[in-house]
Amino acid sequence: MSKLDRWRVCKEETAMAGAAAALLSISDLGLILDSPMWCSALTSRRIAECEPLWARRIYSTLIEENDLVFGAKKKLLQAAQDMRQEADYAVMGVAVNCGPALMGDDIEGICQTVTSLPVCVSDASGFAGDADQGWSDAMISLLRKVPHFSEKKQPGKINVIGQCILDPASDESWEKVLFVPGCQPMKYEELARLSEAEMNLVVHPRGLAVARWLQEHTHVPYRIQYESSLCQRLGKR
Amino acid sequence: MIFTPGKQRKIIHCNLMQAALGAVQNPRCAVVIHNVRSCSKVVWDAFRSLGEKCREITGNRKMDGFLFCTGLTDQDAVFGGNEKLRRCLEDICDEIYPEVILVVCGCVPGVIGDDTAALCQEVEAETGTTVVLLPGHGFMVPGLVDTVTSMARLLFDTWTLPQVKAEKDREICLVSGLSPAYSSPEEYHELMEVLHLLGFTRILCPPVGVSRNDYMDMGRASQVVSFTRGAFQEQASRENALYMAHRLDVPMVNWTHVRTPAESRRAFMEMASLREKEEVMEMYCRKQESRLVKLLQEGKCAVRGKSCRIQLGITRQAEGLRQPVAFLRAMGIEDITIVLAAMIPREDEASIRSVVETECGALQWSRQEVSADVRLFTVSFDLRQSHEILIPSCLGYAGWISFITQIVKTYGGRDE
Repeated sequence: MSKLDRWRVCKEETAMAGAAAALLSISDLGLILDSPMWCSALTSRRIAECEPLWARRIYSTLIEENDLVFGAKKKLLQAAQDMRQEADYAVMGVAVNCGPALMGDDIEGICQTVTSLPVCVSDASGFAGDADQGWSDAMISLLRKVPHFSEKKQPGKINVIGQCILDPASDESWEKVLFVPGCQPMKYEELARLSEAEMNLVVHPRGLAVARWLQEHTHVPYRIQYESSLCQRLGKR
Repeated sequence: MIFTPGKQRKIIHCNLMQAALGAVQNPRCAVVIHNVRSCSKVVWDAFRSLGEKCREITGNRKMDGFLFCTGLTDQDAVFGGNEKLRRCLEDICDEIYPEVILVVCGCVPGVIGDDTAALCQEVEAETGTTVVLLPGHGFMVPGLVDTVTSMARLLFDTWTLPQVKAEKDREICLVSGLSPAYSSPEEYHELMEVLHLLGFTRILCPPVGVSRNDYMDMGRASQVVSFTRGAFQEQASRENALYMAHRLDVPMVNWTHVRTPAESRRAFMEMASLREKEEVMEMYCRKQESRLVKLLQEGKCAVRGKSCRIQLGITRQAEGLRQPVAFLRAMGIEDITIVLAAMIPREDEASIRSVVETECGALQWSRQEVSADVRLFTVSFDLRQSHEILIPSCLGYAGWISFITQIVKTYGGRDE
């Protein structure tokens, strides 16, 4: 092994793209990227390549150098207000990039001063890791915002956890699947129904932390099955 | 946002992506991204796409250099990232012996305030390898600083200045600001052809594919051409060209704003008179002009009387509409509507109309999409429009010849 191996560049997706993909899978969520223009543009372009309509729900604080000194509160409030005027979202998502993450603004507190919507903040900075980590953290921060999970059960139904639009598997439909959170569009209120499944099937390592969280908080057990196509796993007709 | 014709807005871009160009077609260059690891993905993508585009356009298959990343963590953000950078630079020197290591800092070292410049000097002194720190920290790039021109200037200062010779080589030309990655193939090839006709056999376009020996040879260059396209800051590029010309004590011409056939003729003939190549250049210009005239005649037969919609993608491109509108009218297209894209602010509308109509006369304007026979657009990065014909903004004739040929080919059929 060469000693240069540890300095190799990243060839995977960024945490920001992963977090954006997870948060935007909630179809009534408006997303603010708390980041400079360039990082926002690249994230938005990456999402638009996969789902052009999702990218329309992305806003950005477009922070600049001075904001690092004086704080980005004003820009965050402006973005939150713009979002509120533009559409009737059920939840607000904020993905935080490296610069603002180092500043340590109270993002949720700032946003709550102008909106009564639930605000879901996710650390999507380069410190967080890669896209899978960004996706996973964003999904968990979304689930934390669910006030009450449903008590009902749908026998035989499963949730597929770990699919992401940045890394699409099969786009066919299956009979036994209740939800594919973080990939298939869902309403914010539908997140509460994830607990109705009998089991969560983890199809990618990025979904593991989410499945564990769901097991802990909704008592839905999970099974890991990374290999082969989803259709085979689910016994598609 | 208020649009003032001729004035640039500050465009905030990240310095990391352009840094990748230093390693394109330069196997003895290493670029170190000093930031969190995921940012290097952006540079990697740029490196691959810009490198491929450069290879396609220039036909040069020279190997690329290396990209590395220090991969700063949250701990480094607290305790400083300099030690990591030092280890990375030392490992690179030990393993691949590059001619130069270009260090580019992202926003994290900028926010935590590491003194990376001092560290780079230290490592250079210890290892004997040239270590150049590029300006800026991610999105925190000082106004009028462009990574590509800065990179070329820093290496020029390091390697060329000590080699400046009083005796010049008439065959060496230095093109400052142009990277093939930001030009169209037609434009790049035409520029090279024209410079060859003017007697230059060695044309150097730093920083892409330019080695230390090339920089040293630049000390004998007899001409500097300032030529900027795409993402470059035009003013920074022009100042850089002027700086190089002064240091070399040679003439400089600025071809950045040469974007029409008429302007190209003037620029080419002016340089030809300095180089005593008027005859050959006159022949070249006449040949290209007669091709253009012939094509416009063909176009007149093919698309006369049709309607045309031009989508203006961004405000600053309003100034580039004069030539295409003139060509459309020469082909008998009078019904021309300019559709302003959604990202153009409402405040800019009046200024845009005034700029365009002063030069082109009255046109129709719309904020909504309109139906038309001929559909053109001005921005190449809008993927949704990629099936439409892109209006060039180019030096010389080839780009315009290709543009008219495409119109005739695509829209020259009879009306239903």
